[in-house]
Amino acid sequence: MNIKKKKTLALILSAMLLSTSLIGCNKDDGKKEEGKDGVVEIEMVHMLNPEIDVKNNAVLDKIEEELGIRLVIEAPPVNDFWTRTQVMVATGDMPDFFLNGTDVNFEKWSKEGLIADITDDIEKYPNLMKNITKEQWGDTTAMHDGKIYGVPRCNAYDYWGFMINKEWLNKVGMEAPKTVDEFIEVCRAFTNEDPDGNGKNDTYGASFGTDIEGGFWSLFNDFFSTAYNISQHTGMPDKNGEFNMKQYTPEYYDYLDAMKKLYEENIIDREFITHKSEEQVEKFAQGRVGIVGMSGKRYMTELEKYGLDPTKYEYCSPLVQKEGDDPKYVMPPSNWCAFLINSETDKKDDILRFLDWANTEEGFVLTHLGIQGQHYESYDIENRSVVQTEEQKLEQQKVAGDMFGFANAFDGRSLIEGGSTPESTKIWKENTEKANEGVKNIYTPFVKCFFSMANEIPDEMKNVSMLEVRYITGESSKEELKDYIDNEFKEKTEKYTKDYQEFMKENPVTIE
Amino acid sequence: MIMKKRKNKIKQDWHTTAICVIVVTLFALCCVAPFIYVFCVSFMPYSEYLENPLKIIPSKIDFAAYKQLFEFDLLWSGYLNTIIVTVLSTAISVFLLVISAYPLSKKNLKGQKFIMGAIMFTMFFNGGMIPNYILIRNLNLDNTLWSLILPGCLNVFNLILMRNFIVTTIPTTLEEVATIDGANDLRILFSVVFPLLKPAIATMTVFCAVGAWNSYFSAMMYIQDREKWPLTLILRELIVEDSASAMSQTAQLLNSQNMAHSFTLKMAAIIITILPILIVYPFMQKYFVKGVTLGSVKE
Amino acid sequence: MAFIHTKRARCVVQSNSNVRLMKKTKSLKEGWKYFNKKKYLYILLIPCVLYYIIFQYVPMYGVIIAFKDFSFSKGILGSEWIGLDNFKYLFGLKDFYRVFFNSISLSLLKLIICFPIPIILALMLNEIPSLRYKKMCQTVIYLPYFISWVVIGGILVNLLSPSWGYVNMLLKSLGMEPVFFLGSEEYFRPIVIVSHIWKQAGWDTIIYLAAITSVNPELYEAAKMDGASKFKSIFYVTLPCIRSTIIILLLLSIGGIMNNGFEQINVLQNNNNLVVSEVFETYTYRLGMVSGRFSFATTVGLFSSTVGFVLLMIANKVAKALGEDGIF
Repeated sequence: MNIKKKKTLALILSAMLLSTSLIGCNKDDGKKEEGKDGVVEIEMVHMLNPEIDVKNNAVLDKIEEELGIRLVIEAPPVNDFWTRTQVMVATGDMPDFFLNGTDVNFEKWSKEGLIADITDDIEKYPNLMKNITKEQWGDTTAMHDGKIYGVPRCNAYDYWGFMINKEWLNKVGMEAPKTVDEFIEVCRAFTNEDPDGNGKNDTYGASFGTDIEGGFWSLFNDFFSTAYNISQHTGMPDKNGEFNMKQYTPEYYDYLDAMKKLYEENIIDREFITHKSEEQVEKFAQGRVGIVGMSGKRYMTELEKYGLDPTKYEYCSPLVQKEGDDPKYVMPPSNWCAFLINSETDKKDDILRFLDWANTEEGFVLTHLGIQGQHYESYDIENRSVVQTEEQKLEQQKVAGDMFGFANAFDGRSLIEGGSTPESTKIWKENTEKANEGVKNIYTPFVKCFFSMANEIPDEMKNVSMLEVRYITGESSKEELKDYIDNEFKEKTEKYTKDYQEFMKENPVTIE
Repeated sequence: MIMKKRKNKIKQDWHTTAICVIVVTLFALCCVAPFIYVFCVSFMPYSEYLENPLKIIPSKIDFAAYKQLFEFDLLWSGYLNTIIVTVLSTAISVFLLVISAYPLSKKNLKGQKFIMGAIMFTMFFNGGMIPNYILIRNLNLDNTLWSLILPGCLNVFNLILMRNFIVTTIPTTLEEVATIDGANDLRILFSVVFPLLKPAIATMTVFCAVGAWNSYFSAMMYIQDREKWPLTLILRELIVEDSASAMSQTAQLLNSQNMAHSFTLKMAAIIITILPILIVYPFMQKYFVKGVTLGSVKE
Repeated sequence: MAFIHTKRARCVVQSNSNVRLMKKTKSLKEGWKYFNKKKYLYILLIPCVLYYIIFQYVPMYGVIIAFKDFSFSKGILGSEWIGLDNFKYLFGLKDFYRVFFNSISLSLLKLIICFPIPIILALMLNEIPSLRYKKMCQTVIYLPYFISWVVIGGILVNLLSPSWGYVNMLLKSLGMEPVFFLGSEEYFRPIVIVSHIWKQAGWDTIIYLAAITSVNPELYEAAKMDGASKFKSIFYVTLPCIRSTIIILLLLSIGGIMNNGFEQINVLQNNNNLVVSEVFETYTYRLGMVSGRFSFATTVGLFSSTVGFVLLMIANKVAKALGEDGIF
């Protein structure tokens, strides 16, 4: 017994020793040897998909070759990325530059002088100025002093309409809806007339998006709400051309009532109030609902993701209230976060030089697609289409991609438009061109007036979205909602509304 | 008369046993159902899942999800890291638990109460993310697997349980006998108490191992190199969970990257995380099913 | 006269201090003797004490940011003191008390309903005659523990859906109206409790099973000799033997009364059931942690820890007063 125990103990101890030496050795592997001639080493924290190899990466080698800059990338887990960047800044472990949103922390850090003011520097970089529009720079302009504290990772304009199941439409003998009334008719038919022909009463007209933070204000619902001049994006003028919070626009209650009617009649998927992350799209793909809100830019990618036949579905522009009205897209300048530079780094110019290069055609293609011949056959910048074998695609995912890219649009357009094959791209092109005909584009500035509201008046924000949902489901009365919005909520939000209206006076929207 | 009573008793016993078997079986069925579901869906083509999400028997077996997981280089390094961390931290934890719980179980030991109170305090209060991060960095543990092992190696909850086990299972008379025989505390611990603690040690081993196997928070905070990430962290990356807390942009980014977080992939990931535990568990199990006899010791 | 007095006084003082000195040396000596006798026990405690000092008490200073206005550039120690402002803000939030009530009531329900189930299960498992079947059941019932809440949430949505779920299909085939379980207020708590039992109860039996194995088998034999039925021997032998384990776990659950398990609640929460489903953790998560308000997040943590700690202390006292061992 004793000997056995001693043996176990010895085994454990030796295992411990062994692993100490093993793990101990690993410690400094990450550090690269320094002092290669003229190569500047820049440390950064980036959000990357797990496939990407940050150490042996042909794209990073190529960048080193071209620019004399070696990027040493740390990529924390995507799910916890924002926690990591916060702790990093809080503990003084900031790298030379890093990816971050332009949120409350951005304001704080810029105010405290932790991130570099680059207002005067960027003018020296022509590609940055060319590829990133004035509106997009608004994203990284701090509210407290109006200076620029980061390089936006610019993105192409996005627009939101809806997708409809064409087979179902044929089955019930109807056209894709254009007005709200037609939409209700189609929903009714989709619910009651067994459009999938399985003999069961298990389909619904449409489903919507929702989340706890924003109530049922999701971009997925814009195809419906823009008919009432309400959008999830701020900056949409109401019926009278004025700017107000959603709750104070003239058609707010009309929209809620329309939604309530659909809910009461049970011709939409009632479970939409429990959605957390785009379950409505899955339901659409499953053939449980026939209509779902969708981005016109990426609907083909979604169809491909679920393995659906693109000819059986159609993308349509947003609804209107009555015939003769113009459907509307709300299009704020779009960025996917921004790159913030440590104010204490002495490599600011190198970082900007690199980001400037990333905003050229060469840099854009290299950081997204990798090296020609190795990761793709050819790329047509005019039509935004790529020729690539499966193997090349797998290899490409390890070195470059949309998450790796430092600018997500070149000349205002994404790397690839439409689907992943020429055929699907062709379908996408025809479909969107047809859908977008006669749609009014409302180009808005970057509105930052409301972004701190969720921090400053959390109770009110939550209560109002709760009451809205409960009004639709019939748990609360209209009086309750109205009373809350007109008294308590108004008092707390007046300040923000005023800022908003003033801001919109200085930065008017353009409608095309 | 006596016979009748006996018969009655046997009948009663039979009832008790039957009820127990039925209830446990029902509960076990409830528990195994979702697991069977997870298992089946992981072998199902995604299109079939879409057709009917509650379908259990796939019409054809599809290894696509597993293929996608196994093709992923980080998965293997993740497995290795997780195994190293689990083995080491379980060994260290259980060892520390035994040697710490034993003196703490001595009610008349001076200072025992104070230490126990101080330990309890840490169960509720701690410094939070930032000071912990600074501590790990100052100890030079960041970016090593030790940062996943050491900070959690003496869990308060486990310590309290271990102490309770010792208090309840070790008869004081036993130790008194040993003391009279001239054995010191160290000898008593290792040759008298230790063998009696087998079920407790088995339980703690399971707790520590499962805890280490499932943990990802320390790795997220302290490990920079992806090659040093444990399995759970890597799988969390493949399966993007609710990102509402961060920014909706993240979801869009991932979508564009075609990281189809399809349901079948999620299920396959669950299976490959649980499987090793399922294999190891039966070896531990025998210790708390059989139990130990106290032999000749009598109170 | 005066002289004598002082002398005498001095004498008294001297002898007094002598006595004290002697006592001190004596107590020191005794202390040393005591330590020497128990030295191995103290040596065994060294790693434990070191661990808690280094990994728990050294970073403990972080707690002070609850009383500071955290500044990223100045760090924890350099940030400005703001006293109790964070606490005032927390208690001043209008929804605070409703959320606090939700939290406590849900935990109490969990404590009353979920706590005894693993004990009953463990006792029942122990009565299964076939060893192999017993082992199998045991392995099976802890499986749900390894499935994360997000996945369980997904399964529940599919299972309980009023239009497509099996549960409602069953209700419909019985001629009943379908119920929107996940969307309604009144079903939120039952779903939380049932899903908690489903996921956790099997795993929690492990501790009790280990405790049961250390029950002296002679006691059962004695009970049998006395003519006790199986049911009676469970009640009079097994239960008393694992009583202290039950009490310890009960005390710890009381200490954890402010923790409802963020993940579970977050998965089952939606705008329609928010009135009952908003608990302390989800509420404060949105208030503080999302936006990096470290000070406020710490304030919240400190508040719920204090509540838990105080409750545990009280419960421990009560347990001791009732003649139980308690935690310490």
